[in-house]
Amino acid sequence: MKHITLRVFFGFVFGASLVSVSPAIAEFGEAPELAEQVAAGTLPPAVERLPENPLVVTPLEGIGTYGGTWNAVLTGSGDSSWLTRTMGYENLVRWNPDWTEVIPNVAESWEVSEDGRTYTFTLRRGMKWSDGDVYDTADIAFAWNDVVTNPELSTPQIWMMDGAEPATLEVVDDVTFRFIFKESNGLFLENLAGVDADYFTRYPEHYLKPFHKTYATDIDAKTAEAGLSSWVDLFNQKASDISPSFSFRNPEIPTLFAWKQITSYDGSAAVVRFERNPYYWKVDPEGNQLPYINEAKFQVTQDREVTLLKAISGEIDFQWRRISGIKERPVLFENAERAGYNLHARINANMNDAMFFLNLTHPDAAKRELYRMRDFRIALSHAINRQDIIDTVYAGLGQPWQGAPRPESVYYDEVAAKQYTEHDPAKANELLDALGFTERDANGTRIGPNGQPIQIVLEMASGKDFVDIGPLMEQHLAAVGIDLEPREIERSLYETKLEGNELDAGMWEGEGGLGVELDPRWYFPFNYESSFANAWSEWYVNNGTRGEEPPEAAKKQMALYDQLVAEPDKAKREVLMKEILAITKEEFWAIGISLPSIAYGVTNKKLYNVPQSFLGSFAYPDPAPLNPFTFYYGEPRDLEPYQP
Amino acid sequence: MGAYIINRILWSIPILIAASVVSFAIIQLPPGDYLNAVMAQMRANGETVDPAQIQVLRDRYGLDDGVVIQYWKWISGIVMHGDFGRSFLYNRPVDDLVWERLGLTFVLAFTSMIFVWLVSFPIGVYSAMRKYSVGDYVMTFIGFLGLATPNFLIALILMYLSFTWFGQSAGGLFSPEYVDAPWSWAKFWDMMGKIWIPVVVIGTSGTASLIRIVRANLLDEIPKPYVEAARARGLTETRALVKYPLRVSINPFVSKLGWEIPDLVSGATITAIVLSLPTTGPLLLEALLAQDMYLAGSFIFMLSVLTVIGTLLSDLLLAWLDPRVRHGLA
Repeated sequence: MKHITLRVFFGFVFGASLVSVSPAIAEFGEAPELAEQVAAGTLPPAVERLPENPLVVTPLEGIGTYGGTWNAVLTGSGDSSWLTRTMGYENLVRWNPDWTEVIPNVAESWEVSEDGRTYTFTLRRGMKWSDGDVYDTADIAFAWNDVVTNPELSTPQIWMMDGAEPATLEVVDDVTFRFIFKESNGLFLENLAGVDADYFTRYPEHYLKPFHKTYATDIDAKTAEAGLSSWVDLFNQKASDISPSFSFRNPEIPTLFAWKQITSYDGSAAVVRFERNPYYWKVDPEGNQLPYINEAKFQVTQDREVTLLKAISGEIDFQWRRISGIKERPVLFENAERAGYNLHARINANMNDAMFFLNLTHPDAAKRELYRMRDFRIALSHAINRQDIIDTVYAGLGQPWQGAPRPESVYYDEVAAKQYTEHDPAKANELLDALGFTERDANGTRIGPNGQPIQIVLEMASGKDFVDIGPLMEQHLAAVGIDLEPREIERSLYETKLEGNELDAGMWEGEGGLGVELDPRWYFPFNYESSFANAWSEWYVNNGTRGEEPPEAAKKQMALYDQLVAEPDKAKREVLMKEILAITKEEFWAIGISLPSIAYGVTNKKLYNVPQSFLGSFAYPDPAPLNPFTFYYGEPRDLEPYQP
Repeated sequence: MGAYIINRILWSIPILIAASVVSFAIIQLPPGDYLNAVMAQMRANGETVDPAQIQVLRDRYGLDDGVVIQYWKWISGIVMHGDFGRSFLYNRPVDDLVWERLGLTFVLAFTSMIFVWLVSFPIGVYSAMRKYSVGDYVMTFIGFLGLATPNFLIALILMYLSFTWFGQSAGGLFSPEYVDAPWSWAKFWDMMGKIWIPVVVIGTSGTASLIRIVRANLLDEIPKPYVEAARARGLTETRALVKYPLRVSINPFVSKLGWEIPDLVSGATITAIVLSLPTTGPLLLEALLAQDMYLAGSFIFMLSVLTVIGTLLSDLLLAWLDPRVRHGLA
């Protein structure tokens, strides 16, 4: 290992700190296999492969040694997000391991103008794609002008828009570019660190231009040769699917990932293999090029049970995906010793296992009127025996919780999280009586405002753990004279009904327990995921041109959120978010059931630099922010599973 | 005989046309389309669905076209270019996806079929000859047990046992070190060490029903006068049995062959999923769940074609085997 002097600069620009580290001695450590290739003359030396200013990553425990294989499992052919979480996630910026701050990644630094309208990024000079070609602002310009804003291929997400128009990209030089918005965009960096914000780092211009209509003159011939009907299909295939996300179907496309893909994840390969990327642009503090682990192998199974069997037979080195459910937990613990793994804890960033929502914008006027009565929702909440649900469905793990931020969050509010959670049928009855639903039919069901018995059809997408909650809630609500009819329906059907505003009541996981600002879907009618008030969200998303005008409280929340999005100052954003949450607490839009318990996954006993516990969510694509490229194999050791 | 064959072949044409319409109609039946399935998948991952993105995809796939237009696109591709369309899910031609899985599927299906015949034929004959003996009861009991237990459950149990007792890697046909290795003797032996699980699992239910069929058929035939006549001419019991009633009782095997062929491709889907076998069954299920309409539709259509071909073959075989069928007497 070489000794290297580090020069560290700290600069603070409007709350966003940037760290720039550049090794004074340009000599790097590298994997023995790569050193051999360099000696044989088939690979340029490390100093030419790495950028002038590689990203220095401090490993969790210590400097590692090169070698080994990371074995993991993909379940079915729709599991590419596990590949993104482990092999992918190289955006311009990334989340730090604590999920508290956006830190430099592909971009070595950035500057935000005082008015929050201009973002200037600096790339790493001399950085290379996995095939050795230079990555610079030409790739950024191609990604933005020819892919993301090309209406035939894609549309930019809402946070990259300037009203109805896409934001303006200005390329300054090889490594500097700017995004200019007409109005202040306070959450731009946070959004850019999101897992699906890989727009600027996944389209290698030199590789993709020959398949793009604007640049390839023989595009029709190429399309015909590939047996496709349009150039869009061809481009899509070469780019590993533009949307909805990177699919890992085309292993030929150069990437910026720590390991480059060898076999395609296309539904036919039984193993998806990855190999060290010799051009990877991150080093440890001693100047050793990362990653430490040589290769990754993902076996593809068709079924969760088989994935679990592979875990307990010791065929997996690091994984929680598809094996960390409550049902799997006892099996994982039982076989830990024999299979040779330790258990890591994954703290689910969701704030709820199940959010029970009534459709507040129900097409039926009578139902809508009923569901919009806050006391009605409070009565239902009191009628639900959450401990019974937690004991029966979640093996006693979890605690009664409303749709409110998790205890780890800065927005944690005990009252909001616990209000109306005590099981109190008497109080529920009292509230329902006070609403005037005192009459009952022959079955003991209360008569609603329209003279009909109050019946709620609860539809849930099949295959989710929470479908077992339905029958329990049916009993709980029957005790207070409400007829709940739980139904398990096929997922696509659920999707169609949700899209068409046809649900009466439904259930989904409570996202947004952490990372609240980025995903406030359960706190106000924010987007299409705010299932409790579809028509209101539609109104908000389309700036009032479509959907239905929401009540004052929701409009206030929307106005506050608009302010928040435009606010470049983090502390001020927090204040605004707290105001929004205070209204949520008051309005009580949807009913929460229980706070998710910790999930456990497996870590090989020999694997180092892996945290014992970490956060998990879609927005924070663990384990990627935990720097899997610093994982390495050492002597086996036993670690006690993390307990809260 | 010639007229019989021509008649049968001509009949299969309208049947195939009807089959293509029905296959396409079936995959249009569930609510929503491929993109709803994509959205469901994204939502299940916790991803946020952006309606604008979805619209781009919907236009690209032509999902807003009318059903008739979509059907015409599909069927004209098949008839005129032998092109079964592209799978949305895999972004690959449907034929490629199916072909690369057919090899192992056939190996597995034929092995299971032979296993079923080897086991059930002798047992069926024995059960018929020693009717109501202890042996018959034991065999019948085991047979019914096999018939009554869901295949996937047997698969899970066998997998768990082979893992706990022999420490074998679960699922798939190969150990991890051979999965993506090129074919070699070592890989072949490795496969042989694992293929017995799917063969036994897929075989058990087939075995049970065939035992019952053979037994029942033989029991129908044995009391008939021609068997008596054979015995009277001094043939040994075994020879009298093999020469006459057994031949008659083969008929159901042959007529079942027609169903066996599509079954080779789509059969044992759940078992294949549980065992993570790289066969065509899981592909079909995945296509149906994801509403990948060209993949699913072409798949169902291919199965219909195979059924038609299989039925044709077994009709012809029956006619060859049994003069009564040939002359329209039975």
